[in-house]
Amino acid sequence: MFDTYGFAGKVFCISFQGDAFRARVSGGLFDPERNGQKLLIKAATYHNLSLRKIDAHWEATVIFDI
Amino acid sequence: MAVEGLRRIDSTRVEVPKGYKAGMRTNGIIYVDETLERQLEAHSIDQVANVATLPGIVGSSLAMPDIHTGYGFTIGGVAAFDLKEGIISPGGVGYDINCGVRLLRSNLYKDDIAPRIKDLVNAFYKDIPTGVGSKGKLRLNSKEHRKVLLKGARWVVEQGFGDKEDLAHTESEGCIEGADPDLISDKAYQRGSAQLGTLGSGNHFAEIQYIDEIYDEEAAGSLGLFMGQITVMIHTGSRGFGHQVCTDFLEVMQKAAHKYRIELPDRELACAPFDSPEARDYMAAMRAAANYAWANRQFIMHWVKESFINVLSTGPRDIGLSLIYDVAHNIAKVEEHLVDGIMRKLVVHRKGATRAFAPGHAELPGVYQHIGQPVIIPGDMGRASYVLVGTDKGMRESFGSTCHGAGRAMSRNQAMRVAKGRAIWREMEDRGIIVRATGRSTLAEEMPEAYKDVSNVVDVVHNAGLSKKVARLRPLGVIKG
Repeated sequence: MFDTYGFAGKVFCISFQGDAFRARVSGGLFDPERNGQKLLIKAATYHNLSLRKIDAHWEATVIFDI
Repeated sequence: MAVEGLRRIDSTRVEVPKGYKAGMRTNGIIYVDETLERQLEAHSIDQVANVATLPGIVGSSLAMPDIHTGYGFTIGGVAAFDLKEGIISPGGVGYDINCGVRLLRSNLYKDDIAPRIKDLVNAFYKDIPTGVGSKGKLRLNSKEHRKVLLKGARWVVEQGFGDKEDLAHTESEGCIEGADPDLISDKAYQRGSAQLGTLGSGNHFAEIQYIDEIYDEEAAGSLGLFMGQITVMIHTGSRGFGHQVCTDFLEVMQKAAHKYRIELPDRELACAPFDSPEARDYMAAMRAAANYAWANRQFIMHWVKESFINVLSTGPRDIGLSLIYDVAHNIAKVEEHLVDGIMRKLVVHRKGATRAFAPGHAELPGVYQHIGQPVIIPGDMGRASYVLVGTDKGMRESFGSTCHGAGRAMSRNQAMRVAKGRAIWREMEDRGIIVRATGRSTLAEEMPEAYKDVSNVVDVVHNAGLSKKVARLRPLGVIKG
């Protein structure tokens, strides 16, 4: 969305339903003068990827290419 | 102090012995002197060893002196594979397919434009879309996008942005045959449609420089280089398009590795036999992304020329900006190399490594036949960059490959911590270098001490004979993403 349309999300509402989740994102067109430029995730990698169960939760480690 | 488990071969090489890790089919060789050996990361040595476990590897798993940890393959890695027994791996090319560098010469001397550097840097900043998610001045429709993928820089020249000489002075003449636009995902098309002609973020830059040292008068003369001369270096790649192609095919290759029962020590090394449908698809998609990158640098060169004309209010002939050469440093190519006295076709992965073909190679343009392929090595924004040429020894030892840059000495986070409270732009200005960057943290992440000293790196490849120093370039002004 950002690369193609310049859309920058501002408000994220995420609700979980069983194994799935629904996300509603609102925002606007990215304005470099107003918004400031921080990190952009270019890709999610398999580098040192891990998934482990801790008590009742799962914890994932994902390294992003920035 | 020597790294445990490695064996020093001579002053510029250490060996990662075949027994360093289980499953290695060959040894590894890392080109480092004793100073750079002390900076080796354990993980990057492991990565050299991991690549040596892949099927069909020919010769050694190599790493150049700008080695640092990457995803799967180390950055600075070179590995060649047999076309029948060997593999192709997107991890051996990298996410930014055909990230590369081009260098322009000019008729100008440093003193001619010294008072105008700030204006030129500001003009670059205005004329070249820069930074995270930057959008180009162009938006490709579907038909144009496919033509870019098939024809690369050739298509850009056909649109009037450059001439045939530019293509002759670009690796592979700015276009690799065999790209297939039908193998590109919709997501990649979407990410690439508005990013052609943009610099991007991170370590990508456009830099105004001058020549302060010439090491090889004959080669410099053939390249049109002279002391005090202004040059411009452009470093960028295939932007979000290439990243998406890599991401898409890593998934394909995960399944392929499983299907063909290739044991992987690291999932980022996902690969397929070179002689397989998955490999053919990846090669065709990777070539499309490589062509996108050459088109990208060709467009940016045009904006650079426009900036000079507008700021100096003089004609293009007086300025004389022309392309010396454009090199890819993230790519895999099928090439012929002499191995144990036999000429063999191999697929050579260069990830953060530059092709450096010797004098007389058929792929070089006529004007460079007698000196060898120009090699462009960018350093950090405060110290230096270099021009070198390829050698016969490089052909024999490293499949005609050399280093690609300085190599990071600090992670981005480390650099941010070290730069906290400092005004890097002012420090640079005090050294006579004008910098502008779009991102808030870019200058901190990219400050000179975040990198190894490129002069040390280049000395190693020069002393090892992989390529030969021609000239040193000092920065005057730079824009970063």
